[in-house]
Formats: sequence, structure tokens, C-alpha cells
Amino acid sequence: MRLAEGLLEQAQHLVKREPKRPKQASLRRAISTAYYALFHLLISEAVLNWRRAEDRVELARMFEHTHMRSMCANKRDELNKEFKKKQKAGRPNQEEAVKRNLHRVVNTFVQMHEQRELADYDYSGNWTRTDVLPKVEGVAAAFKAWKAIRNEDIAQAFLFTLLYKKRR
Amino acid sequence: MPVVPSGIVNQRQLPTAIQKAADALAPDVVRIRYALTIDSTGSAAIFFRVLLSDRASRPDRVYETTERITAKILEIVQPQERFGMEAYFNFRSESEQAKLHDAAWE
Repeated sequence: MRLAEGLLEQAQHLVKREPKRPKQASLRRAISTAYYALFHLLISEAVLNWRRAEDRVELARMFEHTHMRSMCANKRDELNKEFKKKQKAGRPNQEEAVKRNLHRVVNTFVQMHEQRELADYDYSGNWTRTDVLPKVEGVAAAFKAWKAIRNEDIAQAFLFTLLYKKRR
Repeated sequence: MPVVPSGIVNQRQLPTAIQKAADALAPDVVRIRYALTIDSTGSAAIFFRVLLSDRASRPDRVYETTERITAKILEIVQPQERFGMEAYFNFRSESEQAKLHDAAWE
């Protein structure tokens, strides 16, 4: 099992670990682990494009959380605008279905990045299973969405942006 | 005619839009509270705290419920388009809140 899938499975375990009175530690770690599952899924997919397998481990270290989030937010906003225009244009097609899946992935990343910050560093609130369960399931849905589109040009082009930074 | 700063207008429009969303989502949504702040990237943000009925929070349906509710709130409030804010969502059931007595969710 790859790291990303293992982390997702661990998050799913943590959110259900104490059926009656879930511990804050379990719920917070479930959020954090689910985020890292998606983070590592995208990185592991991106580095597969590097032909020399022995360099992929080092390449994977070059990805940054905030840059990835920023690229995900940009792609989400771009797709939102496109969907809005298309709403008026007519029936969805295969191309739009691919874009909807990519939207699910990038939107989940943005949401989970922020929730991970809260779960790991913010003591002010209590987490509940009603909140955490759908967030973990949302990451599982993003995994499925990614697997459906991983070989599409738009998905591969998006992976490149996660590493690429424009020169000033 | 006096020019009202857009921020003030928005502050008046926002609660109205949120209440409209809460009304549209009843009885699954009991109430919606929110906080205007900045997120971890420093962007203006709204954090919605959505209190759900126990029926809507059943584990076997809570994912679909929260997806639908999130989409409806975004559609009605339009935090990004109308107010320039990133939106985040947290959910809680009535019975969970009854145990926690968390003032921010009352």
C-alpha cells in the first residue's frame, strides 16, 4: 500500500476509533492525517513523471504546502468561473466531468489545508465526529476523483503547477 | 447621495444572506453562526459554524448532508463573489452541542 492510501486508511480508522466518546486527539489527528493523505497523493503522482526513479525521493521534498494550496485555490477559482459560464451554455459533457473531478480534488485540498492548521495548532475549539467524519470522507472522495482523471492532460498539467513557480 | 463604504454595506448584507441560507436549509440546519477573520494564508475569510439536527447528522448520511449544505450556503451567500472572502465550514450536531455547551455555537 502506498503512503497516501495508508494515511487515508489511518484517518478513517481514527475518526471511528472511540465509538461513544471520541478523543480530541483522535479527531484532530484524523483531520491532519486526511490532509497529509491528499498532500502525499498529489506529490507521489507528480514525481512519477520524473523518469529517473532514484531521484524521485529528493524531488518529492521540493513540494511546499502553501504553494500547493495556492495553486489549488487558483485552479478552483478558474474552474468555478468556467462552470458558471457553462451553466448557461447547456448540457455537461465528458470534458466537464473531468474538470468537476479536478475541482473536487483542488477544493478539498484548500479546505483540508486550513482545517489541518486548526486541528494541529488551534486549541480554542472542540472537534466533533459530525464535523470530522464528512471531512475524512471528502478526502476519500477526492482520491476517487483523482484516480478517475489522473491520466488526463488537464490533471497532468495541474500536477506540474504544484512545483512550478513563476520567475519574478 | 452619500457614498456608503462597500465594507459597511457588506456587513449588513452578510447576515441577511446567511439567515436566508439557514431558512432554506431548515430543518436539517438548526442555525448558522460565523466568524469573520483571516485564514492561515492571511486572506480574508469566513468560518461558518453550522449546527445540524441530529437526524441530518446520522453517520450514514452526514457526508451527503454536509456537501449539500455547503453548496447551498455558497450559492446563497456567495462569500467569494460578493464579499471577497474564502469560506470554510465546520459542522456539529445538536446533541454534540448539548454536551459541549460551546458559546460560539449558541
